[in-house]
Amino acid sequence: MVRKDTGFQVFCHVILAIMAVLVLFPLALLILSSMSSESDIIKYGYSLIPKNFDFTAYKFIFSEGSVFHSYLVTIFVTLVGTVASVLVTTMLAYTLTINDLPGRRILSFLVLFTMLFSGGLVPSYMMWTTIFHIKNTIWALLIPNLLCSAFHIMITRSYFQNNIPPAILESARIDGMSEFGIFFKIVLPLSVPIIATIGFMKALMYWNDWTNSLYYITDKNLVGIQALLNNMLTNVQYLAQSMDASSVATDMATVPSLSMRLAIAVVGMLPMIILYPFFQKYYMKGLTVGAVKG
Amino acid sequence: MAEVKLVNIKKVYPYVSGEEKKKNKKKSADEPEKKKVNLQITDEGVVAVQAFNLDIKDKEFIVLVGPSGCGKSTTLRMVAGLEEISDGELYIDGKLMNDVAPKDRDIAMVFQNYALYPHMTVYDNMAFSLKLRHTPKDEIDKKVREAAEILDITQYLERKPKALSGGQRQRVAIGRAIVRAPKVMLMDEPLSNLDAKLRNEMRAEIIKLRQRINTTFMYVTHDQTEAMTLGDRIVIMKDGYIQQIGTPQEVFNHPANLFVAGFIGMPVMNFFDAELKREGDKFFVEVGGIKVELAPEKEARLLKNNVQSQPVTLGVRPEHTDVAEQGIASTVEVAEMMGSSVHLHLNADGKDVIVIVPTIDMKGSYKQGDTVHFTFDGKVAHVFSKETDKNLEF
Ligand SMILES: Nc1ncnc2c1ncn2[C@@H]1O[C@H](COP(=O)(O)OP(=O)(O)O)[C@@H](O)[C@H]1O
Ligand SMILES: [Mg+2]
Repeated sequence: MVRKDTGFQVFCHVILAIMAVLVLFPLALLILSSMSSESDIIKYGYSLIPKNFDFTAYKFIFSEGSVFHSYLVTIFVTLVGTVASVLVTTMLAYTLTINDLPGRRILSFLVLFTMLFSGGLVPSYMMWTTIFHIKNTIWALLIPNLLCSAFHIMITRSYFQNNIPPAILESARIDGMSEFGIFFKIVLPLSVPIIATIGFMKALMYWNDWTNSLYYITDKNLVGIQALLNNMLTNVQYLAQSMDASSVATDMATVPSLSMRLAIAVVGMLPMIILYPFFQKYYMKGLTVGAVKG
Repeated sequence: MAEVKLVNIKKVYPYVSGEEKKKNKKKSADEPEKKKVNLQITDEGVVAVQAFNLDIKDKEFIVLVGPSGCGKSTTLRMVAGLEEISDGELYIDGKLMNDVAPKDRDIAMVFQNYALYPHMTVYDNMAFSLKLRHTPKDEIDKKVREAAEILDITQYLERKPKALSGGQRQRVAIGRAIVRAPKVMLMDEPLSNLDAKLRNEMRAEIIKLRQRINTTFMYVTHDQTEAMTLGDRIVIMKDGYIQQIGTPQEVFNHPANLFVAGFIGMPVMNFFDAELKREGDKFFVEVGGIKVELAPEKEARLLKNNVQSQPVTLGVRPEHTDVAEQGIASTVEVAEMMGSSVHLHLNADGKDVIVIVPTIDMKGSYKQGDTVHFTFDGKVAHVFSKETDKNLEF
């Protein structure tokens, strides 16, 4: 592209700007409103500029002692789960790039198959609880999520195929490196963009996962942050409803149910928002280089 | 430092299902008018190499040369162990290597696209194989620096490959190969990614390198100049078959068949439809109204093969074709001044012929449309069978 079509560029920028605002506005509203006092929200509705900054909602959330514990559970699960699932994904994807591997076609078929079909909740639940007995263990938060990522496998495979010249691997083979060595010392170091990309997606998945906690965890010590927040949300709703019903001003009135809902959402996603900029550089790269040959 | 022996080596790439039809179609589209059957495509798969027999002597520099797709890389990769050998035996230093892993063959390989480890410095690239073999640190250091010295890359040792030019990268790749002092050094078109000037420089470097490191070389190229300048012996391949093995001189002076004759030498050999006439023990070629007796040693060989009079393809190199008062008549189409010589592109009765005239011998100059007669000596005329394309002297 030598001559830039400025008209087209302006058009694109305007469209993108509008879309960005459409995405960012609710986010800003969410965060700022969560810092408003409950009475302001009731009086003036949700607002971008809080009349009075008020962190009662957050105090309420963190006054529940188990919040920190649940944070730790989720952080642990996210870290371990991300590393493990990135390993599983990259290994499987790498295997799929080996052309003369016996059974490669069956393997690819199976991977693609899971992308489109799954047994559904009840059979999986039965399998995990009756065969693997993961109920009320930390495994329940780690293992089920390890498996469902055919899309990640596909983009990783195409990244490997397009970005790692086979001659490099052959060189390593001649130099005397084992196949595992080649994978860990050559393939992985050359795949930072795609690892960061799928790593971030996996981290997001583990971080936001509350369903596995819902299905398999009853032990309070193993409840992750999202599941806990989800519980709180339900409870707040419940409290708010019962308050309306009785319309009796008790000490329940101090429960800031509106802002607390918002604060819960913020608490749930804040760490990922903070992490995103560090991954963004690779994230973009990984998505594009993975997709385009060259 | 090893002898390499390839006995009846064959390589078949089996079809992945569905590929068969595609390949057939593609090949026929490539060569529309020639209705030649492609020998490489068979029921069992693509036969990339077959009936490959070669004894490489210790410290010999062997060059595999041939057009793209003729099976050079496949052969080299089988020696390296990167490709399974479908049939036949490979010996390195007398040991059967067919099922030995690449790392245990004591070979090193230089690839066309360098294949350096991008995330390691030049030093680490070169030290890598030694580290894997648990060589002591100070010895690694010594060897790497020695190799870097030879290749003149000492000042780049701490750089990453990305920060090097193509020529420097290929030096590093060669350095990586020589630190280990391999028994056999394999090179697959190592200069093909470089521009013409750099390629000439690196070619000279490889000749020097060869004198400094004493080892057996197998070198693949599609460039006949590279083959001629580097090789102790040249293996010329086509369609998976060896066409001829010989020293550069041998293949230049005695091409075994039409293909070799046309492939080796620049500009390309002139070919004529001619008649070979046997008169007793003497042989003559008749072409374009002239009759030339072949040299006695050629006659002796033809006699030994009991060759009879027959129509032949006559081959004469442009540098062996001379302008003369009498000879085959032709008109000048283009006269290219090359400095020490002029390349005359002639049209002899519809046939394109190139004649190289040394500038010193020239009387006046040549213009388009001039009539020129040319002739050749019986020592440099090659006669090829019309039926088999084989040199009748063989
Ligand atoms: N991995 C492969 N699978 C199938 N056919 C191949 C493969 N590699 C090479 N071939 C075929 O084998 C023949 C020889 O290839 P190659 O040795 O790379 O030729 P060269 O190096 O002389 O250009 C070609 O017809 C090519 O299409
Ligand atoms: Mg090749």
